[in-house]
Formats: sequence, C-alpha cells, structure tokens
Amino acid sequence: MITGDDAQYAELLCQSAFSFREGASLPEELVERARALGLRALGICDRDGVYGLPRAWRAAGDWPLLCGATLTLNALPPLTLYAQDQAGWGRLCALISRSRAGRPKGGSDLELDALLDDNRGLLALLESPWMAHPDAAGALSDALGDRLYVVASRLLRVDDAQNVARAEALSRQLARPVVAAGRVLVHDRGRQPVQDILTCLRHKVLLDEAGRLLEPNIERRLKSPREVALLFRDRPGWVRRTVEVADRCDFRLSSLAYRYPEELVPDGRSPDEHLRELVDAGAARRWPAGVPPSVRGRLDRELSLIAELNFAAYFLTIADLVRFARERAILCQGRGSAANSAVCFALDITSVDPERSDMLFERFLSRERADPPDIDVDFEHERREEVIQYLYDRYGRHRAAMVGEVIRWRTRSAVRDVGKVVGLGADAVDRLARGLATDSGDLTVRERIAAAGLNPGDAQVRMVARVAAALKGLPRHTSIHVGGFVIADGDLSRLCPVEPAAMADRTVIQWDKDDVAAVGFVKVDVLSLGVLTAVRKTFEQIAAHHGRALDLTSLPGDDPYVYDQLCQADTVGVFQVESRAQMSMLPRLKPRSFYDLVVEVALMRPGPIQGGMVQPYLARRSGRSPIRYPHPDLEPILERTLGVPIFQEQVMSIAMAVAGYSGGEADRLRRAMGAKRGEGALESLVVDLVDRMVARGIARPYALRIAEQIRGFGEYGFPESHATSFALLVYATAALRRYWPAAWAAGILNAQPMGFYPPRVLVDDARRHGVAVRPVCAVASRWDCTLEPDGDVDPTLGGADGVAAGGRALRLGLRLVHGFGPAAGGALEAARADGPFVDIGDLARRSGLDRGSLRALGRADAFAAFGLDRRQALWAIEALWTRTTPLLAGLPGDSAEVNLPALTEEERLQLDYSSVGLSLTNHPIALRRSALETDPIQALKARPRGATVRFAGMVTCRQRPSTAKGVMFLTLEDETGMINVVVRPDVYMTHRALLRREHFLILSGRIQRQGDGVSILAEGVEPIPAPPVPMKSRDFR
Amino acid sequence: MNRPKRQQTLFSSPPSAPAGPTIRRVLVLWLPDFRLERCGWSADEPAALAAGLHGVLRVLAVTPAAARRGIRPRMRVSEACALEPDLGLEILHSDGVLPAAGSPEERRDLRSLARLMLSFTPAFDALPPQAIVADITDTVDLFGGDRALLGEAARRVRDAGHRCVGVVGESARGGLALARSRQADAVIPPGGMADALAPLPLGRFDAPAPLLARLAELGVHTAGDLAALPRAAVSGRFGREGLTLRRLTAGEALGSPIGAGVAGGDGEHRALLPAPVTRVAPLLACCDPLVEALCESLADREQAATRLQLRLTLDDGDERLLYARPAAPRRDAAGLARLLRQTLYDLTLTAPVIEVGLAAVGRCPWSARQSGLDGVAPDAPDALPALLARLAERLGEDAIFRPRLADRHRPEEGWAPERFLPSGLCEPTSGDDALRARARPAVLLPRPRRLLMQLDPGGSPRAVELDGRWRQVRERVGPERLTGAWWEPEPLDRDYYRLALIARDRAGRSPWIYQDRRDGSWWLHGWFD
Repeated sequence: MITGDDAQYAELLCQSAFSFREGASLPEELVERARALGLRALGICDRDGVYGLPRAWRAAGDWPLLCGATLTLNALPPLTLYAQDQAGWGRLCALISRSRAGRPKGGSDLELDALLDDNRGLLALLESPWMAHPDAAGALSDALGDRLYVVASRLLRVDDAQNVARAEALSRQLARPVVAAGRVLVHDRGRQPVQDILTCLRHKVLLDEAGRLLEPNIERRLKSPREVALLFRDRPGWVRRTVEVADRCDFRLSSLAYRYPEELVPDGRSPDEHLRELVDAGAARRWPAGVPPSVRGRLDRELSLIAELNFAAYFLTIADLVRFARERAILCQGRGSAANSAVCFALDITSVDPERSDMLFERFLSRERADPPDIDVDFEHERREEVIQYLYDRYGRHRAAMVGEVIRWRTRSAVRDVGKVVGLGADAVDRLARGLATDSGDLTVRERIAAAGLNPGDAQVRMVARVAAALKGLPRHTSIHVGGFVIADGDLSRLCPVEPAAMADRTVIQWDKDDVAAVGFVKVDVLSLGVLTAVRKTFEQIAAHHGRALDLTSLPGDDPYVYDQLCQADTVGVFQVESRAQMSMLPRLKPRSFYDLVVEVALMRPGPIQGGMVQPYLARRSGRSPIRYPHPDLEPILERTLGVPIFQEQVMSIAMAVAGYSGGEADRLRRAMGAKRGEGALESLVVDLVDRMVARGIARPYALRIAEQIRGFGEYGFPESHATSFALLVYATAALRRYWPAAWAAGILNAQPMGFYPPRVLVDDARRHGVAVRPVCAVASRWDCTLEPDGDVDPTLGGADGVAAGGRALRLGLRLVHGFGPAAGGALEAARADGPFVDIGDLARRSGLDRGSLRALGRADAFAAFGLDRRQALWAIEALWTRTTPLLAGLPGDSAEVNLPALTEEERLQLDYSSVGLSLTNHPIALRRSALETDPIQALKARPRGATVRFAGMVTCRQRPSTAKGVMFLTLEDETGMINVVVRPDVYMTHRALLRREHFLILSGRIQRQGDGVSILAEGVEPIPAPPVPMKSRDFR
Repeated sequence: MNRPKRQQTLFSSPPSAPAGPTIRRVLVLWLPDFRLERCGWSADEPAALAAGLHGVLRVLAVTPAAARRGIRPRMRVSEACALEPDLGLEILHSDGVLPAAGSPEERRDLRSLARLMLSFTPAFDALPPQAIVADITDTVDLFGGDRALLGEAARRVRDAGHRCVGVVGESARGGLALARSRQADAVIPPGGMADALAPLPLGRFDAPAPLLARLAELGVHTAGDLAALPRAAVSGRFGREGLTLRRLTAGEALGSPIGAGVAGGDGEHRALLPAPVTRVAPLLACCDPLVEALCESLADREQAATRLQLRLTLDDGDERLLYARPAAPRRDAAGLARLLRQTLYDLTLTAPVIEVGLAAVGRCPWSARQSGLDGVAPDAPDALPALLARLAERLGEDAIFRPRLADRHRPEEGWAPERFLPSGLCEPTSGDDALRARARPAVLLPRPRRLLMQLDPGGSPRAVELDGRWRQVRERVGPERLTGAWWEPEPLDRDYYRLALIARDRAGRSPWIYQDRRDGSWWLHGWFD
C-alpha cells in the first residue's frame, strides 16, 4: 500500500506574490513553509520576472532554491524556465529583459525564436496547454533536448483527468518525461480570501461576479511530499523525478558575478592611483595655502582604506557625476555620511570642511563592514534628469539602470482595493480606509470602524477589514527608487532583468535596494532636492538684476542679521527650519553660529525628542542647568553638544571610547539604531554595550544611563555630517532671503512644488518683508516669476555688507495660473517677442492659445493691461469662437455692449484663489473680520502667557505626527500674520471632524510662551460660517 | 431629423385656434416628495428608494430621517445599510440603467396621478419623475379662473396623498422652475412670466452644467441676468444651448404641445379613446394607428421591436400592462398588428378601456431581410421560434426558458433559467460550457439529501444507502473539491464524487454525492443519466 511516508518531492511550479495579483504569498513565506513540509527544493517561477528571488534566497540560505521565471510567449502558452548555472541565469535575465523591452510598464511578450536561438544553461517545463501547439513544442524539444520536461498537475478539479491525459500525450509526442507539480500560488490554505481578492483585482470584477474566474478550491498550495505522493499514487515516478530536475538546477544567487566598471580610469593607471591624483588636485584647490597636516593625514588614511576595500572606482563615478553637474551649472551637494569623508570634500562631492569639523570617518566607511559606502548626492530637482541621462550615456543603457522599488499594500490601499472588490460603496470604503489607517491609539478594529461612522456589526464591513489586514504587506506593484542607480562592468541585463520604467527614457531593474545590497551590487544615488533649484534660480535673478554672480561659497558668512531673523523664527521658506516645530525651537535655541544651525537641524527630530534630549540641551544652553558628563572619558565626545548626545556619530564614539568597540562594531550599533522598530537587534546590542563598559571599569549606573540615551535614538537617523550639509543650505537660504528677498521669492516660487508652504504663504511673506508684488499679466508676465524695476527701496533691508535688497518688484509668473500649461506659456512668450499685443483677439491669433488657456488667463485677471476686468475679458474670449470660418477665427465676434455684473469683493477673492492660489488685494479672513468678533493674530502675540484668546484663521498646514502621542499642530494665518496652535488629544477627539477637514476655523485657547516664541493651546474649535473661499491646506503626518 | 409627432387622440379634431393672439395658460404641479410618498413612508422613518444602476444598487432618494443619518442619493445601498442597519428600502426595477425620468413603476404611477387633470383639460402630461403639467388655456374659464382651477387641481392631488406646489403661468418649463423654487401655490399674471422668473437661479432650469459654469464666471447667475443679455450675443457665444436657456428665462414656451402623445421620453404612443371601449374589435381598430406610428419611429432609428408593451387604462382608474414578443425582431405594421391581435384575443377586463399606450420596450438594431419576388419580405420565421413565441404569449413569458450554465462554482447556482428571446438573439453555447456541462448531472436535486455511507479504511465511499437499500460502489470518480465563497453566509467546502454502483437504481442512474468537509456528512446532490 502506498502511504507516501518516504516520498521525496521538490515543488517545481510556484508563483509568489511577485507574480502580481496572481500569487498570494511572499517568497519568504513559501520558502519557510516548503522547508517545514520537508520538500527537497522549491522552484520559484514568477511571471515574467525574478522580483521575489532575492528575498526567497535570503530566506532559503543554503537550502536548495531554484531560480526561474514563467515567460509570456507570443501566441503560445506560458513557458517556465529555470537557470541551471550562471550562464543560464544570464540568458534567463536577458530573455526577460527582451520580453519587456519596448513595451509599456508591466507588459511583456517574447517570440519563441529568442529562446530557440540560445538556451544553454536553461531547463524548461511545459504544461498541458502546449498540446495545442505541437510544432512549437517540437521545436522546443529539439532545441532543449533532455533539458525539457512535461508537467502534470492534480488539483482536485473537474478537469484533472483530462489534464493528466494531455500531459501524457504531450510526453509521448515529444518523448520527454513527465514530472508532477502543484502550480502553487499560496503557501497555506488560509490565504484563499486574499487569493480570491487578487484574482478579482486582476480581472477588475466584483467578488460576487467573479464566478469561475476564481479558483474552485485552494489546492494550488504547497503540499507535503506525502500528500503529493498520494495524489500521484498511480504515477510515483513523476513525483520522484521532481528531485532529479531540482538537482540539475544548482545556480544560486550567491554566485552572481557582479563587477563595478572601471573605465573612468586613464590607461596605465589603477583606479586607486587615479583617485589619489584627483584627491590631491582637489585638496590643492580647497587649501591653496597648503593642505593642513591633520587633513593630509585623514586623506591618506581614507585613501588607504578605500584602496584596501577596492572602492576607488565607485568614488571616481561619483566625482565624475559631480564634475558633469558643475560643468552644466547644476547645483549639487553631497549629504549623509559622505560628509564625514575628507576625500569627498576634496573631490567637491560634499561641502563640509574636515578642518573645521571633527567627523567620524567610520560612520562612512569601515574595514569590518565590507559594504560599499553610501554617497548621497543631491542635485537640483528640475535638472536631475540631465544627470540621470548622463549616467546612461556614460555607461550605456545596457550597463546602467535604476533600482526598483516594491510598493506594498498598506492599510489604506488594502481597504480601498478589498472594499472595491467586495462592492462596498466609495464613501464607506473611504471612511473605513481612513478609520483603520489613522493612528488612533489603542482603539480596537471594532472601535475604529465605529469611530469612522460605520456599523461595526455589519458583516461586510468586518469582512473588508479582516481581508485587508491579510492583504497588507503583499507587493502591489513596482515602482522606481528615488534615485538609486546600478551600473555594471558588463551587460547588466545578464545579471538582473531590466525593464522600461513608466517614465520615458528610464530603465529599471527588477530588484529593490535591499535586494541589490544583498547580491552585492553597488548602488549610486542620484537624488534630488528642490531647494537647490530654488537657490540656483535665485542666483540667476540676482545676477540678472543685481549684477552679482553668487554661488554657495560666496554668500556673506556668519552674518548677525541672518541669525537675527533665524532667532525670531522669521523663516518661511528657509530650508529645513520652516516647519512649525523648527519655528518654535528657533527662539529657544537662538542660533548665533553655524554649528548652532547644525544642532538646530538635528535636534527637532523624533529621536532626540523621544530620547528626551531636547529639554536638557536647551536648559544647558541657556545656563539653567549645569553641563555634566556621565563619564570623564565622554567629555571630548559630548563637549560640542553640552554633554547631550544628539548625533549618531557621538553614540558610535561613546561605544568606541568607553566600551572598546571597533569602528565596525560601532557602525553595527548605529545601523541597529537606524533600523525600523522591531526589526533591529538594538536591545541585545545595548545589553552587550553595557556589559563591555562595565568590564572596562565603568560603573554600571553610568553605563545604564548611556544605554538609556542610546535607546532614545531608536527612531533617529540624522548623523552630524548630514546635519552639517543641511545646515549649509539653511544658512544659504536664510541669507538669500534676508538680503535678496525679491530674488529669493522668485527663485522659490519658480521651484514649486517644494518645501512646506504653498505659494500664497511665500508671496505674503515676501510682501511682509517689503517686496512689491505685481499680479500675473498676459502682457508682462513670463512663465517664471521675474523681477522688474521698482522705485520703492526699503531702507530697513540694508544688510551689514551694504547690499540693498529693494529696487526690484516681483512679477508673478504665468506658471501660477491654474489650467495654463508650460506649452501655452512658451507660445505666449514667443508671440510677445514679435511685438506688443493690441488686444485679446490679437493675442489669441498670434499666440494660437486655445480657449481653455485664454479663459484660464481671463479668470486670473491677466488681461487687465487691456483695460478689461475678468468678466469683460471672459465675455470677449467667448466671442472669439463665434465665427467658424478659419480665416476669421480669433477675431472679436461682435461689438455688442453689455453690462455684466461687477465682481463683488468676495467673488474677486474667490477667483484670485481659484485661479492663481493667492490674492494680492485682500485676505479671506479680512473679508469676514467684521462679523467674526475675534482678535487679529498679530495682536495675540502681545498678550501675556496664559491669557484667554479667541481668533479666526485660515489653516496653512496641519500635522499630527505619530510621535506626538495624539497631539495635532496647526498653523493658522489671517491678514496680520501666522501663529502656531497646539491641539491636545482630548480637544482633537472632540473636534476631529472640524480639525481634519475645515480650512477656516475659529479657535479659542490660551497663550503659551517659550522663549520669544508664542503659540496657542487650543481649547475650543468652531467653523467659520460660510467660508469665504475654497481652499486647500498642506497636511503632513 | 425628428419628424413631427402624429397626434394620436381620437377626438374629432383639436379645438380651432381663436382669432388673434392667445395667451397660453399652463398649470404645473410640482410634487417634491412623490418618489417617497408613493412608497408610503413618513418623514420620520429612515428609508430610501434605490435601484440597481450599472450593476450596483444605489440610493435614489431618502426621507429626512435617513438624510439626518448621513444617507445621500447616489450612495451604494450597502454603504447606506452600514450607516443605518434598520434602513427601510424600496428597490425599483431598473434593468441596470435608470433614466432621469425615473423607473417604469414611477412613471406609471405619475401618469395615473396625472389623469386627475382630465377633470380640467384633456391636454395634460406627466413630467417624470415628479411633476404634472396641463394646458388649461381653453378650459380655465370653465372653472372660475386661474386661481380657482389651481386650487381645485392641487386639492385633488393633495387628497391623493401627495404634497405639491402649483403654478399657473405661460410656459411649462418656466412654471416648473418656479414651482420648484416656491413653498406655496402661485398664479403668474399674463405677461408676467419673465419678471417672475427673473430672480431664479439658472440652475433651476436644468441646463447643462458646463454652460451654467461659463455663465457664472461672467456673473450671470439668475434668469434675469441672462434675459438682460442680447439674444444674438448669447447665441453667438453659447450656441443653441445658450439661446434655449435664454428663451426659457424670458418666459417663452418651448417644447412639444402638452398632451401630444409622447411623454417622459419613454417612446410610448398613446391614444385617448373617444368613448370607453368594451369590445376587442374597436380596441384593435384604435391600436392600428399606434402600431403604424411605432413602426415609423422604429424605422427612423433603424431599429426593430423585440418586445411590445400595450398599456390599457381602464375607466375605474386601474391599468393593465400586456406584453407581446415577436418570433424575430420586426418593425412591419401588419405583423405587429397580428401579434397584438393574438395578445388581445382572450383578454378579460374589469372595466372599459379609456386610453391605450403602445411602446417597444425591447429593441435591437434592424438588419435587412431577403425580400420575396413580389418585393414583400417573406413572413415565414422558423417553425420552432414561432411556436415558442406563441407559447410565450399564451403561457406567460416565465413559462418558456432554457437552462444556461451559470458562471459559478457552487453547483446549486450552476445554472440559471434564460428568458425566451426571439430567434437570433440567443447566445450559442460555447464549447467550454459544453465540456463543463458533461461534468455536472442532468438532474440536480432542488435540495441535497442526507446519505448514509459505508467507507473504506481510506475514507472513500464503499456503499451507499439509496431507496432503503445498501448499494455497493463499483467505481468512483473524484473527489472534485470545491472550497470558497468565504464571503457568503454558507461557505463552500465539499468533496464531490460520481459513483458507479454495482446494483443501479430503477432508472439506471449514477448518483452524484458530496461530503461536507466541515462536518464529514454525506449528501446526494444529483443523478447522472
């Protein structure tokens, strides 16, 4: 009797959740389950991709994992291929890349001939549908020979017998043996709901209507060898043969042969020699008077480690990118841990002078950690594409591609997709998604459903919540990494499949950054930063209108007036310190030096806040508490931050100084600190740290105190080097805003969208600083905001170096007009270059603008130069299309005089906001001022601490960060200014509907003062009846 | 191009127009809560009217109590029920798409209500979904003037259980806009329509939203604003739509004459009989012109009828709906008239007929047919479809159906009756379906029957008790495992077997059985021949 107890079986057909919307289990779940069931091996063959293989490989370790894919063939059934060796893997990747090339994202199609031509190292599995294609199957059999097998499955379905018969017939026809397979989609039967939901999403049908599109049962799951043996008790050889097939495929991802390209090295020199030459030349440029000995020593030590770890070519690539950017006048700056490197400074990659700061190189690169260093370089966000395309051109598209990213289902998207499939209404889905996704403390799912205004007893609602929870975490689709690039010495598509990205002219590999790191690829990060665009555009305005050629190094240094503004939290638009939290910190920290800005940038982060670092630092800085050190050995490390650890490097240094850690061990501790909560091994490392400190003679109470401080860094990811790089930009943007406010306003408006505030806030801020702002005008405005001569010079804006800020007015650009695109802007500017416009008809005829663009300009009041108000302009525009003869198109339609109703003040304001997003004539709150009986915001700032106030405002931004324990932060503005509001959890819960949705609020509360900063502690919230304008705020988490 | 509609009334002729300009008087009754009132709900009950639209059950209208609980029109019913578990629901039959004019049931009830106007004028119409309009120009003096007639007409509607606001003016659409804006009845004096309409927002005139948005940008918000603009300027800028709206706001009467025979956009051709009819022959005579008009309109649209609806309004206020299905799509008057004759042949009525309405409620594109040598289309449909068509007429539509494989795994839902359609409109059975059909028994029990089983040591059926006898299993095919439907009240988890028995039952059939894997019980579910 066959019991199957001694059966051996390898599952050869298994699709993971990376066969998007087909498989319903993660690769690691499949591997773990397969091992637990006692399978001899597992073959993962996702559809047209190898997205999940690195994860499966990491989970499998040495356990045999077959690497393959199921390819979509043109006019033929799918074909499963496995790599037998490195060469086979290369061909498999190349075939997938070829099937993807030239097709829209997600599409794939391959001609069979591509496989017939070159298939060494590949093993193929044919399923029974190939019976209908005898010629193609025969050709495959001829090409692959004994590397071809026929697959048969028994899934307890009505057509099992038929499928087995067809497999046997195919086997006879091709004279190739049959193997058993489970056509697995899930690791466990509990995944059936998720599997069914994915099927519905794939076919875009409702669950109730899916019918036979769904699997009839959940037998496409991993089964034990015994179960399979019983299913195939009449064909035991088919089961045994699976192990034979698995044994023939011994390729492992660990044997992937990746090499970094070295062609940037001139002939006759090694990468190390060439790097040293560039570093020496850079150092001579940086220190014209001679490289200081301490720096020279650092450079030598770094170069020697770089050579030892064989990373010179990587540094050369980054240096080459920076050189290219500078040649093209693209602003760029390195950040992150690279700012710890003197080599990076010498190569112009970073701007942090190693002579002026004591940086920890081990944070960047260490001998114990063989991983490539992480050099993050920011480029102007509008011109980063030029750098990306340069990389493609430099190395060739076959050798360079961007790193992929896997987008997973999160609570919100899972609820939305499941709700949609189940047939729950859009409004209920929306409520449920928000209710379950919102951080609502310790509420149960049932309570969250009720809080969302839904019936928690409703079976359908509960079912959606349950299945969405199971769907959460599975891959939903792939995207592109924010800036990661992989380049290879040879053909990249033979290492990992490369496919077109959704964005034109970009290609992307099928693995994400963790996968890339795991298989040993070196990633080059080409990041973007909006503020660099704003700064460069500001420099251009200054050069054009003030005649000064500036760059980041030629701004006035350590200027007291710049620090004055920072101390007053007058920082709207200033990089990094414009948020509500940073604004409240500035008057307390009172930065007076560059290093203060470094601390300021790093201090208002979740880590120091949760670690309780903020108040001790401020108390010591203000002299309210003495500066103490847990141990005398820590004084040199913590002296700069008054005894309080603020930066990652300090924690590493503490571990090295008082626990005897090596640089690599300290870096491991740093990585544990940076890992997501629950994923890292921080706790065991902290215990080890304490033990080692005690062993070295440190008193246990001291060691425990240090450990507590380190635990506080659990959420912290800001190294000092990174903060220093950012502080450079903080100072630069603050200085530009202080001395060239009109040019800065133009620069930041032209770089939108970026930063914390919408254009209206930036424009209001510029006007508050004396900048004359002129409206959008079809005759005068260019696409970008520009400067125009202005007679009014604000004498109070003269800076210490005598630079006059005034004399220029800001002309708002056409880019601010909603519904008016860059192509229309270009056409208008081009037509205007031929001579001034006579009227709207002339403008329409010469520019060729369509009706929509003209109406957008009309709504924006851009035709005032023709003596027309908005309605008159729109009336005239409507007439332009009354004649249909092309010869007459564009001419005014009639001369009928009409008296259109004049705009009311409220209508004018509404049109201002809906068409340009801002108003230069009035503020919505001012419009309601007489009816509100509230205090102006500016008047609140003079009120004493604890005073009760009531005021009205427009919500500029709102935040409810997960680290704030339910507290909400609002910024409100009226015609007199802005103020920050703190809403405690109890008040938030009472008024959450208003606080989350309304854009105009009346708030009552008490004045809070911290240093020179003023905020309101909210106690009551009311809506403003009949909000004056439709509005959007910027909401952050 | 639309042809002028034929006047179907069998009255001798329309009243001749008096000499000189006549001031038109039109009565409009707006019934704001009609859709809910006809369902019998009070304002305090959380209840909603719903219909299946594009495959989704959606709310159409709600009572004030339901609105207070956040239930709104267009919301899905599942969502509304999630907000209010005790929500009262009335589901309208909608065939997937509900026209703006409401469901057939609503239109029928509204027409029935509109017949109250017969006491005042023969020229009236229902304006679905919730208004009644009557041309009272020639009869208003008989009832004591505008105000008296309005009061009496409104009273009758209110007595029928419906809240209404009435307006007498010079145009139907203008009057409707006014009635929708008012809380109380009003009489607009002759020549005063434009002034009365002037303060109304343009949105009251049901104009296209993009047109209203463009006008709003110009500050043209009310009827008066628009009426003040030169016609030519409006026409030039906003085209026909703009001009129509401007004429409406100026109080001009637009559209078909009231009571012209086509109402509500449902394509029904109606004839008001000169006297109540009690016999079939005169009724058929009245139907002939309707059939001709229907065939003309079908020809205009290049369509043919697949299903006719004959509506008979009886003298006692009741209404009968009769349906007829041709064996094949057709649009020839003679053939359709023959069909109607069959339909009316043995009809029994409770009261004389006072009005007849004919509509093609089933239509399909017309495809030309081979004509005979004499130029006349041969009228010889296949015998079977013709027989089926006649059976459907005689036995009722639901009596003729064919089983069709349903797209479901659960065997109980494995087939569905498909309604009889004329020849050529049935979908053929696919090869895949045929294959699947062979795996299912010819006889499926309405409800599975519990079985006693004897199992072998491996847990497979060895013997089964049927008709009180144990029968040994000679062979079994299976299991076919069906699991799923986890979202339904009774999830599916069964192993099915087709058994071959050593001693067959009297009919020589093979049983189709299953084991419920949740509790291990065995069930007989059908028989293979």
